Amino acid sequence: MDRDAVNLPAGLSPEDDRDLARLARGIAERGLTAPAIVALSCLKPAAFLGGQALRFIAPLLTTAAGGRDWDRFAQLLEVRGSVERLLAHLEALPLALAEREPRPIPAGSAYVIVDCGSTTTKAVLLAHREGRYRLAGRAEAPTTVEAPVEDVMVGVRAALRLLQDQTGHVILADDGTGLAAARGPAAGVGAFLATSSAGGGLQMLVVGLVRAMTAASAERAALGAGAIVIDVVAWNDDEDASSRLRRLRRCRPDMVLLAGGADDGAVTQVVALAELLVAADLRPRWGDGPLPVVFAGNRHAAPAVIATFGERAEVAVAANLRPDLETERLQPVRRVLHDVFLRHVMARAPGYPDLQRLCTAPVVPTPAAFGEALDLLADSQGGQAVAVDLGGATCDVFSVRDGQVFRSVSANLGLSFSLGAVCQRAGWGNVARWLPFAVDEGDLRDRVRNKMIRPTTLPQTPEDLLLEQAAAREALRLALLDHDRALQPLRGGRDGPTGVDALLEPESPPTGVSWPAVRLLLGSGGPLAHAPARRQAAAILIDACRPEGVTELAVDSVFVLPHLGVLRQVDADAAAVVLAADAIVGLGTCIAPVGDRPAPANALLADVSIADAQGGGDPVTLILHGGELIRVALDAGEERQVEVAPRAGWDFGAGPGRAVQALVRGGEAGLVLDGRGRELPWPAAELDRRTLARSWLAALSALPEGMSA
Amino acid sequence: MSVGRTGPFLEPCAVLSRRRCLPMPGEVLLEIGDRVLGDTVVARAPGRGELHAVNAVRALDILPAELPAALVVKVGDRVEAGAPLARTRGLWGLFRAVCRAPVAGTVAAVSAHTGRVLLEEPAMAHEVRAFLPGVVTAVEPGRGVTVAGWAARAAGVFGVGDERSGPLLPVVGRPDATLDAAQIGSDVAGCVLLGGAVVTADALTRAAALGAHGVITGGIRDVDLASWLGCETVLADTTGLSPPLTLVVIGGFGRVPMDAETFALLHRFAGRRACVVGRTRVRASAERPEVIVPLSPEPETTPSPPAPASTLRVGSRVLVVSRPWFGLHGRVGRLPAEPCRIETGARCLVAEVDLANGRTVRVPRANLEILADPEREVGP
Repeated sequence: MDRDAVNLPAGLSPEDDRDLARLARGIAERGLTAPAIVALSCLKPAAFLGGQALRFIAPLLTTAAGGRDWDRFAQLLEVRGSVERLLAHLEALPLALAEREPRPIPAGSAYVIVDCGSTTTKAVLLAHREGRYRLAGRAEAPTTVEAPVEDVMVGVRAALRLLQDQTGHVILADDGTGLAAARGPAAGVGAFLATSSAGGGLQMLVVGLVRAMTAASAERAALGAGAIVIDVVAWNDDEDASSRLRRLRRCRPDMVLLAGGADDGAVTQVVALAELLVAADLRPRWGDGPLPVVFAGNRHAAPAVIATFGERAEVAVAANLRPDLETERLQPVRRVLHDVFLRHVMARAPGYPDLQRLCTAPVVPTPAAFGEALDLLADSQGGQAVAVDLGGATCDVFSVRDGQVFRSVSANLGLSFSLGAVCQRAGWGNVARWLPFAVDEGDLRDRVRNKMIRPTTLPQTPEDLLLEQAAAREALRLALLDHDRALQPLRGGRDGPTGVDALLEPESPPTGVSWPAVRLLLGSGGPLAHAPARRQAAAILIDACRPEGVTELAVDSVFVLPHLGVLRQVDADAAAVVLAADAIVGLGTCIAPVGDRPAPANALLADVSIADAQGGGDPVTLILHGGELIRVALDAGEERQVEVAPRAGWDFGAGPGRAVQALVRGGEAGLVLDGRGRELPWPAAELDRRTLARSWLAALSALPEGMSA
Repeated sequence: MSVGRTGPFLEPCAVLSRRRCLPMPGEVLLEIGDRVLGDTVVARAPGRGELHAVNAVRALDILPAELPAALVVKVGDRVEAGAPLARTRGLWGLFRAVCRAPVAGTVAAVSAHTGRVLLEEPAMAHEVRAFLPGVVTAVEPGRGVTVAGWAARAAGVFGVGDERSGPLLPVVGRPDATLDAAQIGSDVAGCVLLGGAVVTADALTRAAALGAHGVITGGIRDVDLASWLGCETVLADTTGLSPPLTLVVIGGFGRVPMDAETFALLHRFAGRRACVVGRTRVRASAERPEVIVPLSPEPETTPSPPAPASTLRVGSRVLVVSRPWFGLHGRVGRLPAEPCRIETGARCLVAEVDLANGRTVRVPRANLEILADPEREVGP
C-alpha cells in the first residue's frame, strides 16, 4: 500500500490531521472513497480557494461527517494543504474499509477463509485457542468456476465440508448452503473471507499513450491491484492502427484500464484510444454485458472518453495516475479497479455473487492478498522483504520497501504449464548448468515437455528432481530481472529525464530490489514449499536470488499467505500471529558480500565469528574465501550472534570494510556463508561445471537422497 | 492419479457426449432429438470481419477537422476495394486528392480525432459442427447443443491441429515401431495415419504434403515437433496453432510405444472414418486431443450419459507417466494407505505396480494413468 510521509502543511496541526483521518474513515465506511478521491483530485488545483472547494464535496461531507462535525470539517478544508492530506488519508485506508463497513465479528469466534485458485479451492480454519488464533485445519477441493460446473460455490462448499469433517468444527449451516453462526470459539463462523484467482484471475488489458510512461504506470497499477495483465497497448507502439486493432480483438479481458495524458496534456490521442477500443468491440470474458473500463488518464478527457464509449462499456473514472510527468499516483486507481472488480467482474463470474454474499468483507484478488501478507511480515521483521511465488504458469515477485508493496508478474515463467517458456527464455544450457550430471539436450527437452503436459506428476528420480529445481532457479532469476525492470525510476519523473527527453532517453539500467536492505526472502509455490528437503528450497533461493548482506530465508509452507492477507482486513493481529506461528517456516540465514565485485577463488573475504545468542561460550570463528559456500548447522528455533569482519574493503552490508553484527535465526539450511559473488563463477569446461554444481549442492546438503556427494 | 489425459483413456464402445457451443452468443439450429452427422452445423453466430484503419487525413493531406467535409461515405456504407472514401475539392476541380478503400467492406467508424476511416471486411459466420455423429440430447439457447452417439474413443495427452476426419490408415504394424517418411505411400490424402512409438518430422512433413488429415502416434520427440511446426511449443497450449494436419500424441514426448490395447483397437478400425482433434490446453478449461471412431448402428433410444472415469484400485491397469518407468504398463498390486518415501526423499501416496516386464515398482499415484481393461467387452 502507498503511504505518505507525515509532513503536515504549515496550517495543519496534528490534531487537525487526526480529524482529517477521521473524515477519511467516515467517507470510506460509507463506500464513498472512489468518488471522493476523484472529486478531491479534480478540485485540488483550486484548493487555494479554500472553503469554495467544500461546495464540490458537500454531499460527500454531509453523508460522511454528519451534522455534528460539519462545521469543524468545513473549517479544516479551508486550510491550504488540507485537501492533499485528506486524499492521503483516503488512499492509506485498507481496501476493505474503503469498500464497506465490515460486519461485526463476535470476539474469539472462528475465522474461515477460502482461496479460490485456478485449480483448487483451499479453505482454512483459524480457531481461537489459549488466548490467540492458530491454524486449526486446512482442506481443499477442485475449483468449479469453469465448465462443466460453472459455479464457484460448489467447490467452496466441498472444501468447507471437508474442513468441517477434518476438524469437527461446525462450519456449514444445517441446510448445507449457508454458514453456521458463531457459537463461541468452538462452533460456527465469526468471519468468512475469500480471495480469488480462479478462472485465470483478474485479467486486465492495459492501454496508455506512451509505453514507457502512462502505459508503464498503468501496468504497475494493474499489477498492484492483483491483475494478470494480458496485454499492454500504447499509442506510440511501433505498429499500424489495423494491426493494433487485430491485437485488441484477440483479447477477452475482465476489464480495461485506460490511461494517458497528464492533466494539462493530450486529450485528442486519449479519446482516440477510446475510439480504438470501441472499434475493436472488445467483449468481456464473463457474461454478455458491456465491458468494464476504468479511465485513469487526463481528467479533462474524461467526459469525451465517456461519451465515446457510450453504451459500449461501463466506464468508471479514477484520478489520473500520472497527473503530471513527475508524479505517479497508483493507489486511487487500484481502489477503483478493486471496486470495479467486485461490482462487475465478480458479479458476472459464475457463483461469485453468492460467495460475496457469504463474505464478511469483499473478495480480494489472490495476489493482492498475498502482497498484504508480505507487507505484514515486513512490518514485523523491520527492513525490506522480497517474496517469490513460483507457480505452474507464472512467477509473481513481491517486494516491500518503505511500506509499499511492489508486484511483478512474469506471465510465462512457471514450472509446469509454461516450463518450456522458462527453458526457452533462459536458454537450455542455462537450465542444464545447474545439473551435476550430463544430459543430452534432446532428452532434456522431452522431459520438460512431459512435465508440461502432465503438470501434476511428481519427480520420482533424483535427476528429475534436480531438473525441476534447476528450472526453478532460472525461472526465479528471470522473474527477478522482470521485477527489477518494473521498478525502474519514473520516465519523465523526478529521477529521470522529462518531456521529450524522457522518450528519447535509452532505458536506464534496472535499479530494482536493494538486496543489502532486504531482511527476509520468502519462497512460495510448489517447488519451494514442497521440496523434499527444506535445504533444497534454501539452495534454490540463494542460487537464484543472490541475496546480499544478512538475509533470513523462509518458505510459505502451507500456502496460506493469501488467506492471512485478506484476514488483515478484519483482524490484523490474528493475521500476524498465525503468519509467524503456522504459515512461515524459517530455513535459516544467508550472509553474502554486497555488490557485483567478483570474488576470486581463495581471496580472503571476511572473518566470521559465531557466538551463542546470550553471549556464553567461546565463539566459533571461520574465514570466508572467494568462491566458497559454507553451511553452519543451526537448527530451527536456534539463534546465534554473528559478527562479520570484512577483509580488503569487502562489504557485507555495513559498508566497505565495516563489521556487521547480526542476530541470525536457524532452520534446516542453518547459517549459509556464500562467498561466490553475485555473478556465479561458472567454468567453461563441461566436466568442471558439473563438479562445481555438485559441490555447491553438497555444501548445502541439498543433493537428493540416493545421490552421493 | 495424474491429470494428463482426460479419462476414460480408451473406450472401445461407448455412448460419447460432446458439448458443441459457440464462443459467443448466436443461433442454435437444432432441437433435442435431431440426428446429426459429423459435419452438421449445429449453431451459428455472426462473425467479425478483419478491421482496416485507413489514415484518410494523411492520404488527403488535410486536418482531421476537415475530414467530415471530404468524406464521400458514411458509417454503415458498403464499399468495394478501390472505391473512394474521401476526396478533396482541389482547385477548380483539378488536383483533387482521393483516399480509396484498400479492401471491400463496411465503413465501421470515422474518427474526428485521428482522421481515420475504419473499414470492416465482410465477416464469415462462425459455425460449430457436430463433430460426433449422433443425437442432440440438450440445447443451450443461443450457445449450442450436446450431441451423444456411439463411438470408440482413444484419448491423447498432447496434440496440435483442428478437428478433422478421414479413413483410418495403419502405416506401421507394431505399437513400438517408428513412423518415418519412407513408410508413407502416395495414397494418404484425406486419411488419418496410425503410427506406433514415435513419428519423425520428415514423416509429418510428407504426410501433410500428400494431404493426410491426421497422424496418431504414441510419442514424438520435441526436436521433431519443433522442426515440423517451425516453432517451439513453449506453453502447454496449442490452441493457437493450425498446422496442415492434426497430430494426436497418445503417450507423451520421446519414444513412447503406444499401449497395446489402443493400438489394437485403432488397428481393428482400419478403413473406418476417424475424427481427430489435436488442440491441447492444459490450463483452466482444459482441452485434450482425442481420436473418435463413430460406430453404427446408432441406438434408437436416447443415449445415456458416459460412464465416469475409473478410480485407482488394486488390480487397475495403469500406465506409468514418470521416469524411470515412463511409458510402461502394469497392474496395481498394492495401495499403501500412508504416504511413503520415494527416491527423491519426498513423501507421497504411492501405488505398488506389477509391471508387464515382471518387475514390481513403487510409483507416486500422481504419476499413474488408469488404462481400460482388455477384458472389457468390445463391440458392437
